[in-house]
Amino acid sequence: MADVQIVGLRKTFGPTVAVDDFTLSVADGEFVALLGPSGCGKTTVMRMISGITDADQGQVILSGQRIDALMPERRNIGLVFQSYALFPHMSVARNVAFGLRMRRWPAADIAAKVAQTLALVDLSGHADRLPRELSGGQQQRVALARAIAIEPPLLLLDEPLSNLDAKLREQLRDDLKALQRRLGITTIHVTHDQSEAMALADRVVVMNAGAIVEIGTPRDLYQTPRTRFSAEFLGHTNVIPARVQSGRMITDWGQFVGVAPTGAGTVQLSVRPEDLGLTAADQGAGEVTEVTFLGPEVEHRVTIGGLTLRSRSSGKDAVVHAKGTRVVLAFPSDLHLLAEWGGA
Amino acid sequence: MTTSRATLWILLVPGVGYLVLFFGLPLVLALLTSLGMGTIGTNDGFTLRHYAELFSDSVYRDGIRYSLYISVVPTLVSLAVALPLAVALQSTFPGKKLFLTLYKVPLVVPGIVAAFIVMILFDRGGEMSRLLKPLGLSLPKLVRDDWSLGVIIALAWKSIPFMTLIIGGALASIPVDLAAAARSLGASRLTVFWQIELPLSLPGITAAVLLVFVGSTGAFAVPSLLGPIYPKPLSVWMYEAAYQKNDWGLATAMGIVMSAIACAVLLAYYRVTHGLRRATGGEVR
Repeated sequence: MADVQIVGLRKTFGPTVAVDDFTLSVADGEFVALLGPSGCGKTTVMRMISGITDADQGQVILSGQRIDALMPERRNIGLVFQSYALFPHMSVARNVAFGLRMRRWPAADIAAKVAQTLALVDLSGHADRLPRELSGGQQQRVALARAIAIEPPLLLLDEPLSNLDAKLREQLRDDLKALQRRLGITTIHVTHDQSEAMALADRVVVMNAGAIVEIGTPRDLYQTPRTRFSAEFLGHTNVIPARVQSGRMITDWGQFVGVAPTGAGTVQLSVRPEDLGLTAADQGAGEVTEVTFLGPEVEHRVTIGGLTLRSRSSGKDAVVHAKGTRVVLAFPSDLHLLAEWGGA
Repeated sequence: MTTSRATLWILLVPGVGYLVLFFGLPLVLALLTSLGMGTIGTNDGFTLRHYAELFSDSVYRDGIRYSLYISVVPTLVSLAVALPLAVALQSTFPGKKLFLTLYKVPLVVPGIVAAFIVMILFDRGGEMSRLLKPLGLSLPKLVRDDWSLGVIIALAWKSIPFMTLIIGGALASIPVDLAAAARSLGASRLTVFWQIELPLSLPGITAAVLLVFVGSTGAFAVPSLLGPIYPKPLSVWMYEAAYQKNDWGLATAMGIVMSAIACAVLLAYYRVTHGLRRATGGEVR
């Protein structure tokens, strides 16, 4: 339906820079997630694309046309809010019909489109209810129906699943993904939930402090993050410094972990807890300080060389080491080095 | 069961008791007095004489009409100013804080002071005409004029901030996302107001309109000072009947009629707004 080019968006609120130099291109039919902690500017980006907030600088180009100077009502973008923002005095059907009435569709066409859209989100029997008579999950689906009824070339979702409980969230996540694939609608989804972003998106844009940190497919970002921030934001990771000595990487506690790809100095390894193995050994450099049973997994915390690392093993055959056990670490053969690790 | 019912009654006593004692009882006493069976003034048995006098004397009929006029028109004028003002105050602009303080000043100015302010400013030979005279302009007659413009100005001046405050509160309680959602669906700023903000703030607007209307119905000082010699509002006739003619029967009859008219206007208002709600949004909140 449409591709989106966002070039150099910037927004300041007084002295605070909320978003700086945000540049992103989204392909036709692509599902992109903006992922970041609260206050990172992701919602501001979404509001600038939709026109609710004016950008200080930058361009938004939808299907080759600049829309950043248009009023929000002229942009033809579907919007779903965290709060759903359903009109409380209108029935479900009138909520869904609102955008079509604004477009002055004939009444018969509106009725048909509303019925079709409500069927799409599985709410056909609820057309005459008021929003407050519906559950949170149903309200969320009404909000989605209202946004897609106008057949927008671009759909923006602002934390649409955050107000739902865990189980419902997972179900609606699957529904949302299926619907988006079916309609082929270009979608930008704002979330602070990394598992939601990974499950839904073709590409994830990691944001922090108003700027893009890293862009990649969920798999690339999880397995080979370039930055420490994305490595830690997408699930848990162990960041382990290592010295490079004559082409070999050695940890602070003297363990050889692999062959260094480049030069000398210090490198930072990012090892996911599920990739870090433990073996009990009397002379081991590490000590188990905490064991947590998580259901599908067992997590051990190990203190070694001044660091506290996490190791997870899954399945019912996972070996559980008692607190205080001396252990040695087993690193994966394919080690990932962080390109940027600032901060801690 | 019985204990909980007893508890309920005990809990209701302060509120309901207050209403009965200070609102219901005086109303009943006034009604009885107007029917000639009162405890104040003459008591010569049941009679509709006072009501007959009230409705047969053209002076009083004009008074009723005039009372309605100086309560409906200032209410409409206030609403016409307060509604856009309340909407404007939802957005931010430089100097908003100062404006928010200043616009509330009339709230703490008593009605009689407001009347004098209007008199000093707008009367013939007042400040305004002095200021305008060098420009070759002159004001229309605004004090003791036939249309009671001075009365309307003074009453509206008093009630605009009050209405703005209540309507502003109602508007502020509407989540901002609703307007954003409506805009994204293709609604202009004006459409958002008519289809979303107005129906959702209607309870607040209703409350403001009713309170201002009832306040203006009983206005005494402002029409006495700024109103025309004739007609006089019922409130002024009421005072004359009670304190100059010592005719408490007639005075209370006027009070009852005034309350009845206020109730009738309120009912009419409810009918209109109910229709409005159905027209704009379908269901009533």
